[in-house]
Amino acid sequence: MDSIRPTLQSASVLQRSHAGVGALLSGVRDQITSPFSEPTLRLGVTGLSRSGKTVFITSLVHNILTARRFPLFQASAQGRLTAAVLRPQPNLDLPRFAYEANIDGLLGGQPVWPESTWRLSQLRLTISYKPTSLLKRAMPGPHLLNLDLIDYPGEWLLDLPLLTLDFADWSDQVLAAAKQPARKPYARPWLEALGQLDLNGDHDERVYIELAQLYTNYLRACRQKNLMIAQLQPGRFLMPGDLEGSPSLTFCPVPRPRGNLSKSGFFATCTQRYEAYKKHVVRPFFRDHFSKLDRQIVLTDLLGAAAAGPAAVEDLQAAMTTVLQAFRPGANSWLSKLFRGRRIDKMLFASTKADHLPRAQHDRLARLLGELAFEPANNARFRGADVSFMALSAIKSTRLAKVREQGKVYDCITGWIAGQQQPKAFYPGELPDSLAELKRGIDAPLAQVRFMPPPNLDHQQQGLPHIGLDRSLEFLLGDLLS
Amino acid sequence: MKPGQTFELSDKKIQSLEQDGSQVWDALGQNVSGDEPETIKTPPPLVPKPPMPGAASKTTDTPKHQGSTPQAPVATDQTGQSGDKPGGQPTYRPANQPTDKPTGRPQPFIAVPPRADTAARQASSPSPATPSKPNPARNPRPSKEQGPSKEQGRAFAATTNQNGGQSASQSALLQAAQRLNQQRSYRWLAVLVVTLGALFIVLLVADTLSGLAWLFGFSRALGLLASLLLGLAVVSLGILVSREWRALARMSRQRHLRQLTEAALSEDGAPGADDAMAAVEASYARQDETAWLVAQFRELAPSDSYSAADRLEVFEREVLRKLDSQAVDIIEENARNTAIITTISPFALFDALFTLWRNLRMIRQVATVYGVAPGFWGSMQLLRKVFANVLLTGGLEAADGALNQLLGGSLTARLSTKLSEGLVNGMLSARLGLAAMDQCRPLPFKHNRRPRLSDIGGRLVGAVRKSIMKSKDER
Repeated sequence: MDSIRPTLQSASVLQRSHAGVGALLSGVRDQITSPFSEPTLRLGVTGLSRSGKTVFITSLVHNILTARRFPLFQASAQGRLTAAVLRPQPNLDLPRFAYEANIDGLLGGQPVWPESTWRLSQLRLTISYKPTSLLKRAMPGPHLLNLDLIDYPGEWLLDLPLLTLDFADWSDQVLAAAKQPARKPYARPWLEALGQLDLNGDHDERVYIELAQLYTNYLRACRQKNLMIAQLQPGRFLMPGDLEGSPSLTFCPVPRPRGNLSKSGFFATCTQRYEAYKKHVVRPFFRDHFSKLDRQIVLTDLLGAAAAGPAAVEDLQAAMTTVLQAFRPGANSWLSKLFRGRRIDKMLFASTKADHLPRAQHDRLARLLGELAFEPANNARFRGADVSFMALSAIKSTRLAKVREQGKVYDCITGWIAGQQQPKAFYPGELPDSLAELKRGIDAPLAQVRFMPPPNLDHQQQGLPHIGLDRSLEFLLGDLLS
Repeated sequence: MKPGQTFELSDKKIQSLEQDGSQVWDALGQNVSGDEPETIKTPPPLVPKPPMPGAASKTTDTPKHQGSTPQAPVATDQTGQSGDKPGGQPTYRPANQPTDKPTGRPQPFIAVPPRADTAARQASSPSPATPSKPNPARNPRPSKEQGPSKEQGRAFAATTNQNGGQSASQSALLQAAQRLNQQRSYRWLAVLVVTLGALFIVLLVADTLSGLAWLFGFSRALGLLASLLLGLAVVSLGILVSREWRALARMSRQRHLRQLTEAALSEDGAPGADDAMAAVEASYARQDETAWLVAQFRELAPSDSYSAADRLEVFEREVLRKLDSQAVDIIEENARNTAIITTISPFALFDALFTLWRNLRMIRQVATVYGVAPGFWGSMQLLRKVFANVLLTGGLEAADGALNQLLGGSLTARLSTKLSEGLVNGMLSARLGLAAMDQCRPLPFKHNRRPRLSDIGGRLVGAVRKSIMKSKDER
């Protein structure tokens, strides 16, 4: 597992692409114009696929627009959030985040979760507020804060480690992992096809397509089983976006060949395509959307991993550690902004889907997340960023119930389990106290079902019910609205 | 039960669903809340049984703790404390104070290192722990006297810690010895007072009965009339007593609440937040004046979304903020009235009486805002505590600067002595009111700003000056 953790170089690769005269100039420009332009916060919503990014953004936007259910978000609780509106987004070449469609789906007659994200999209929410600080109050109003949010398929995040790996090394890693017993059954068709391949044969595109397809099937199966999620690369194979079918997505890992090879051989072509993938897909994605973040929330489906078993927990940890190496946490000062570019000065780790667990276990969930993300969190703290952990449910789709059985009372949750017509009470089990226990495997493993959003979610027009959304907003935005 | 098990909502095993106010489920017309609409976390109402005279060995708090969950650390601590005292004499220890803290006891004087003035102070100071008069209301409740206020203990703890370098264990020993001494001497005094009181009552009853008998012998009609009157008197007495009783129970419940919340808020992640929140919620939901606030609060911060500690925060910010501002309004109005009346009244005696009456009224009003509604004895108790608080913390608060601000500067030059007297009186009222607020609030000040004397004082000066100017203009 250690081998796939990228070295710290990955961060510096991005920095190199960002640094230089141009960056310095843009930093200077930002510094000079910032007092006069509207302050903008780029909030990085980071999370692997199915960690709840889309739901988080939808609920955040809806609840800020209605702004009623936020007792712990001080600006809202003190009535200082005067209004919020959706305004045209800054990047005109990106699709707009489908907020309206998502919220309609959630609040409709047959409520559904938003569809999984397959491409990048962006949304700008502008908040008008009454500041408390004397300095800001002395400035003429209205006081505005632009909140830029970006949604993207979580699969793409995992491409980051590729930046530091060349094709042969990457292939070695993938092949080694594929031969492990847990994954072997799913990898067999692809491995067999690879074994029969003539590496020096003539170029036949159909072979590439077939192998890439087999490899993609293997990745899909792994994702289904929550296996090896840190290594579901390249991310675009699973979620191609608008690149589907292009040659840069038509390759697969190949064993390192012995001896000399013709330049037109299978290995050489795959290497080329792999490099093209890195250059045209991975690098721009991170450069454009992740190198300028101000704050970050890392969403993690720890509950899902815990329910899937110890291997999934290990994988999740590896994936998180891997992904978070790309970001640049650190304290911001005006001087450092000028010379180093922006840094992420606040990082919130949230374990999502907390509504699938009774409230009494939420503290434990947050603590487990703290253990799971210790390494990246520690790194961020070391560089001066604020770090916090919490259990979060951007939309609370369940309610708590007590069930008595054989003289004991169990905390259960009730809600609409997917595919059922009536709400039911469900006993999820108990989380263990420590990550070590979770990794060892627990006797009575956690169960997880998929709850659908209940009907009439926002029947009082007071915003969506949630768990911990206000606390996380207070952490992420609170100081900017003071 | 196995993880993954599901139940139909009609299942009898389901005891209750937590109500979060949103009623998402009920909106569909499905009554899923079972038989009990109440959250089952609500603890049994904390109605203390007032102790009987003579049966003083049980503190009023022991029955309450039995009512709450047995595993609560508070409960075990308390029962353990009252059990191991010699002779079962009640001790009343605030739940959040660790036992090894020497200054936690409200007999703090002996912790002062021996100095020349210590003995004199000790002799002259009325120890709060001693029932000193044969007072029928205080006497049956010796336990109450033991725990008047932590503030006293703390205030002196601060001073003693500054003054002396005595080691903790030493002062603890000293204290224990002193406590034993005091308990011995006062136990017999208590017995004496109780027996005298009982004797008096017996004599009174006997005398009344014989008087009645004599009346019946004299004239049947007169006897009937007298017994009717007697019955009425007894009934009204009973009603008064029960009302007082309930008021005292309310106050002791509030004190208990405060202990719970203080313990829960003492540190991040301290245990007991669940119990404290449930108790606070239940207490304020029960009263008509605050029930709607609690309903609003439940909708805002449902118990299955927020941890108890977070809910305590929201409760303070949302519910108590409103009550606090009501209380401050009352205090301000009272301080203003007192100041103005004192300024314009010609007789000193009238000032004093008026101030006393207004202050008592204010304290009652402030307590009522927080849902305590003290009876007569309750008010007295409160007044005593408030005065103690003011006296003890007053010295420290002098640095507050409000008075200096009032008495110094150009303003004083134009003030008559009468006006400055009025302002001082008003400030005293304000201070009493703030102390009463402190006593009655179910939660300590944590997220809301504690109103300060200087805030009220500043406005007081303005208001008084304005009213004086107006009266001058009219003249």
